[in-house]
Amino acid sequence: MKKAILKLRDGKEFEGIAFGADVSLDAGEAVFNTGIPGYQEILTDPSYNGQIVTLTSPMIGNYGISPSDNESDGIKATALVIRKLYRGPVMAGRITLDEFLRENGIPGIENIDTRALTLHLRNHGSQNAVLFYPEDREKAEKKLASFPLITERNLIDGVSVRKAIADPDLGEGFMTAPKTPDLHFAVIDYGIKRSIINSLYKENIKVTLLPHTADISDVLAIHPDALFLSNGPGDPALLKDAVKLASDAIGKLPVEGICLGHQIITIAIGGRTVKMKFGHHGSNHPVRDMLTGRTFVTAQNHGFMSDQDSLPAGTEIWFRNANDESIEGLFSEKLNVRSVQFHPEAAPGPLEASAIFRIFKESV
Amino acid sequence: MKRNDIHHILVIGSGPIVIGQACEFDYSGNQAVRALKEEGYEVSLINPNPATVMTTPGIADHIFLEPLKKEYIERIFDQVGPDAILSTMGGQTALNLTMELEKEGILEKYGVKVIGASAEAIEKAEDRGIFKDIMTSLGYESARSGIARSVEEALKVKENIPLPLIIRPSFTLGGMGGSIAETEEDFIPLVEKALSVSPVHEILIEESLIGWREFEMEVMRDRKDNAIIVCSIENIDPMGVHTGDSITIAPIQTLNDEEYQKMRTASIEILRAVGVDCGGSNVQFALSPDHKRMVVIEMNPRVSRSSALASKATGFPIARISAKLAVGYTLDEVQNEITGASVSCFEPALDYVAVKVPRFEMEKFPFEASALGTQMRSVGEALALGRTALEAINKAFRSAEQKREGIEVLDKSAYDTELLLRSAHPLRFLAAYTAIKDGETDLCKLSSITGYDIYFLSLLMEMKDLDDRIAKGPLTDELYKEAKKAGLSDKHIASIAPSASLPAPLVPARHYVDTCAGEFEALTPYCYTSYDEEDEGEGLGKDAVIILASGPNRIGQGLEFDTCCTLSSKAFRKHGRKTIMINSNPETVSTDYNTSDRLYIEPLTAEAVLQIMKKEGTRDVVVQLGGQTPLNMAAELEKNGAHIVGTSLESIDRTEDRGLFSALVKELGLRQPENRSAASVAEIKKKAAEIGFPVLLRPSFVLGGRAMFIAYDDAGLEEFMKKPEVTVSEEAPVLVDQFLEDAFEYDLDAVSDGESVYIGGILQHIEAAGIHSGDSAAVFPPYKSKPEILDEMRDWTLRLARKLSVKGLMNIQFAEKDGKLYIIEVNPRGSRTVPFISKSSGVDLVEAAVRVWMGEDLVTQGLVRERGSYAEGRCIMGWAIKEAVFSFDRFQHVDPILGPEMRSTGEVVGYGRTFGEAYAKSQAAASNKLPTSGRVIISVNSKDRKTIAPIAKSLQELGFHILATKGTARDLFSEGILADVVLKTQDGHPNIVDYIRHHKADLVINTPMGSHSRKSDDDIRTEAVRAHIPYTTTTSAAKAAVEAIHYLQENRFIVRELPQRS
Repeated sequence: MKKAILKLRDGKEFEGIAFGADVSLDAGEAVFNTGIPGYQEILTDPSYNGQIVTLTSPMIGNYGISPSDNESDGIKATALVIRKLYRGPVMAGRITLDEFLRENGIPGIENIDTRALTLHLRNHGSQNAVLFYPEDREKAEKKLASFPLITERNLIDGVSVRKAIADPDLGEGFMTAPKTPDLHFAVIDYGIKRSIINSLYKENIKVTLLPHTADISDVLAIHPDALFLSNGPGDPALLKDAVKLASDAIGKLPVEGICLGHQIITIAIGGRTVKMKFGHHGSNHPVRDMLTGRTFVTAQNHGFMSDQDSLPAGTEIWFRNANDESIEGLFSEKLNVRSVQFHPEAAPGPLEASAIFRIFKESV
Repeated sequence: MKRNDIHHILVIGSGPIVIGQACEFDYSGNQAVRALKEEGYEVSLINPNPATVMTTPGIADHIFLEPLKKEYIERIFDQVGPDAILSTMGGQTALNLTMELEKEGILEKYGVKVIGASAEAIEKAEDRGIFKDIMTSLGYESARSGIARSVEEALKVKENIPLPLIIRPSFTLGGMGGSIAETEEDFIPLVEKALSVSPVHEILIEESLIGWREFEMEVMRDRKDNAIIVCSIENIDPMGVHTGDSITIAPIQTLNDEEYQKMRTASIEILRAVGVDCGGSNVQFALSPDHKRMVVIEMNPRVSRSSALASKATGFPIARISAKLAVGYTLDEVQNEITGASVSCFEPALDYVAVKVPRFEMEKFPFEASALGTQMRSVGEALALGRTALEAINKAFRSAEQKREGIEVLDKSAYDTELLLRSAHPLRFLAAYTAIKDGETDLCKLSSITGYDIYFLSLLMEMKDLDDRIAKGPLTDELYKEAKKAGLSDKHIASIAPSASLPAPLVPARHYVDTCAGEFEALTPYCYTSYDEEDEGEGLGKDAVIILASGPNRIGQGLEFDTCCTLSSKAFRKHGRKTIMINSNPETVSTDYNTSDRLYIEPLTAEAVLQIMKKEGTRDVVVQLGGQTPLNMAAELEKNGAHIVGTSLESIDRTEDRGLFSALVKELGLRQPENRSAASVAEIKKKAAEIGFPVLLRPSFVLGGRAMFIAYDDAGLEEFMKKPEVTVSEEAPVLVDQFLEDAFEYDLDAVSDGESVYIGGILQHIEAAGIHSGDSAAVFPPYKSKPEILDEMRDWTLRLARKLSVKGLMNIQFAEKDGKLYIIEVNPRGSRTVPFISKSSGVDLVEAAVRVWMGEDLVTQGLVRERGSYAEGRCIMGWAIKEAVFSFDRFQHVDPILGPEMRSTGEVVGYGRTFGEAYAKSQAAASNKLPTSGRVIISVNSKDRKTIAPIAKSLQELGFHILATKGTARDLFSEGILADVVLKTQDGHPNIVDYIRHHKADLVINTPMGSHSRKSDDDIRTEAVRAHIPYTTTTSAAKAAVEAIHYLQENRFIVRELPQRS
């Protein structure tokens, strides 16, 4: 049982016990997620790249790790912060969370007052933090002081594919690519979750993953029926190339997106995104379909959002958050774009908004 | 949007507390009424349970404490004209009643719409055949099963599914009449029994899923198809134990997201298919231990015990929101009161766990090793919140108030722990801990034996490790902190640590239950504590008063006390003082987040209360309203700086300690039955001989007459000493009292300011002396007493109150025999009858007490005219008769015998202009079916022969056929009444018991025959209860029955509205 410390940029400190891989001055933006089950999906979601994730659910690791529940090829979060780690045996065919973190070289810290940490982030906003052993305090503090803000980091490079991949194989627990697809989507990988591709497969859509560096000619070269912009980590305002691609594609192809993809579309059509104080991260966020009045409970994971006042005329608001009325989805018939901020693919979270993928398909 | 086509809503309550239907429905009904009134609807309420908060004047616009029978509802339709009926707040009783009203066309006749759950949805959810078809059409698995309406059909079903089989009757509450057939021989009798208890004579026979994991989802859905899961609950006990009897944890701990979401989606689809579109439901699932098969068990389309638990576990008020949905709102239109920043379609996220531990009455209703099954047996439950599962489980076991500090090993000399491991038994979880403590390390093996998930067994392993380290010592600050974080009490730590002294005390942190895991700021003050964490919020300071509630329901301490606590909080706040409620019972109104200024869900232990006192910065603690629980810790609280509000501890002691009490009685020149106290077995015998038989025996410091016993001879003394809960020592002597056979008993409830006394009312019991006051029917005002005896009671009450300087409530029990008054006991605290007397007299005794505590004497309050004197309330309803309600039909192997030990679980009231009307209604409300024709069996002792004659005559005139035992028949004959003779039990067959067993009697009048025939009397009563045939044990009760029958024969169903308080 080795002690470790989590220190926030504003000076607040939490002492806990290290687990998983060795702690080595791991720095990133500290955020909290209020979902109850789903730690495996969260850890492997590339949107968490560069973030130190705190789970508000106090006991983590209870059901182990299944080989079929990864959202990418491994853990993408920088570190995991929890109240209590389950150290007992797990079901046959699963491994423990501790083992999983060690295999992935990612550290965790437990015995943290995660509620106090959450309330602090809620009141003072998400901010950089560093995880270190007590003896490394000096180095850690130095690193934290100079560590770039989330708005200054390009986090997609590390989680995007390097070259185009047609019909990506999602591995155990997921569907295989459709043999006789109805449509073909060019999907830009900013750190896509497997469940998004899986949801497209379910709709019988062929997927070609393209690296985040792809430009319009790369996209048009594969003759897709639509351009789809994936989820991913970080600040969309940094992604000039992505915005350019989306702008170039509008008018030529239907353009659709989820999460970061939605934010890129917002900018591409002339709007702005803003950083939220502590974001929406959890599995319980209600969004209202502005066309039907119906409300869905959705999975969400974003620290930036579309700025309401920046949207150009002709843009329709598709979804709003029922709690804070923030924008959760957009469409424009004229431009043929359509996007959602939340995660209809869930994983983790409620499955009730999965019909969005049908709408994505039908509006192409 | 709110519905404008309805204006006046009738809410149906659930009636008396019985096992499986308890005060959770007072909580939900109360919330619903408030939510509807907020919307501007006129609200009527029917519930014959006088102990409830919901029937307090001012809660609803029209309150009827009338029987939950269609005839009375019809009169209410007629009299106050509601145009809608809310069916989902009163448990199975209200659902069944709504279905009956619908089927008989009564709703249509009066133009009343059903809101909450439509009759169609109720039918789909409750009819097991239809429900199963719906599951199949949705593609979900249900247990393999078949429906049967006869034994032949049942046998046919059995051909296709192997034993063991679960047998469940349709349309019963709490799984009543359900059972598990393990062998061929069991099958037919169990089928017959289940068929007989189902109101529609239909049963479901299904494959056994015993040992599977069990999960529940509390779901809400609105008319726009918005739906949320309020709370997921995991049963730690496996399938095979009724969920009400299971230890449960929320949220679900052992499912991954995929499995969880599958259940979530299924729950919502099921509500949609069944058609629940404006309210809450509970959906239950079983999962095979390898997680490969998920089976839907059932759903309840209404608020339930689980929904009350879910509300308290999450802070999300299901009943309140259900009521809003029932009148047309949608989830996204209703604000979450707790955050004020989120709407009600935001699914609660928890950053703590909530553990429920059921409370059983194993002493009162003893049961064999594998006693738990599909039928609920527990009488109450305790909830504890903690940041980790181990912490919450330890707190919950402590909260159950069954003399355990948390997870503890079982005493192997008292229990066969190996057997318990394999049995569906309340102690199985502790048996598993005992096995682990004994060195069992193979958790897989233990899991397959017990059915507990390895996750929970690992927690027990962690507990063992911690316990071992504490026992080994030394107890460092670090280890102490770890132990506190794991939920261990100081008492437990001190009991196992090598040195008894503990490190410097730690103060726990206050956390808010905020429904959102900290994402938004909480506005409502619903708290729990945990160690080594950051504190939230500030203490309320010394202006606040702490009210200690009564903890989990048990026989003798339940809803009545919770109502007193709730009303006191209301009164304190009305008069300008802040309140802090501490309770562990999730079923209650006192644990509703807006009952008090601050609510703590914590175990009711001195340690927890003292910590909260410190945190809140106040010393004032009210201990007189929560029954025995707060009183038991009062001395320790006072010793550690608490200020006990009202009557001093010293005075309380003078009434609780029999020696001091006798001295007090002597000093004041009052009279009590001859009494001695004995500190050894030999002494008991000696003292009994001095007093003369019969004697009443009881251990010190007990509530609800626990272990009380009437001995008619030495053999009886022996029997008493054999009871496991009886101990005798210098510190806890056994009390030996003269037993006043055939006396009249009285209950008096009063408030005093130390100088003057306001007597709320005097209740006279109908049943014979020797039956616990809580089990006896009682009448307000007294129906058969000399004025001078009543005056003597009033005078004694005043003298006692002044001598003891009683500040607050007091209850006195009196007995009268041969014109002499005796004082049986004095309780300087709120009693079970306070809510009943308050309602029936129109004066809120609790509020009067609170005002006394706030310095306003009774003269200033206008209750007493002259300082130092007394005044008395009167029954504003004409006659008020309180009847006890039992849950004996839940315990096949328990004889339903009444005696000095309390056995009833609930109560009802009957109000009437005439005694007959009141008695008839009290019986109807208690579901005792008084006959209007048929046969009466009379068997009375020689003293009663004179008084019984006119009663027998009246019965004959009312058209009854009279049967009597030999002596009684002879004496009746001499009075000119002809009766057929039936044999006494000892005289051969067919005898009186055979008549009852074969339903050849419709009413039994049997007065006590003295010691030699006590067994036979007991047999008669036992059989009558089993056969659901009304019986009376006194001639006065018989007379009451005659008057009631007279009222019933007139066939008028009068309803009387409780007056609103000015």
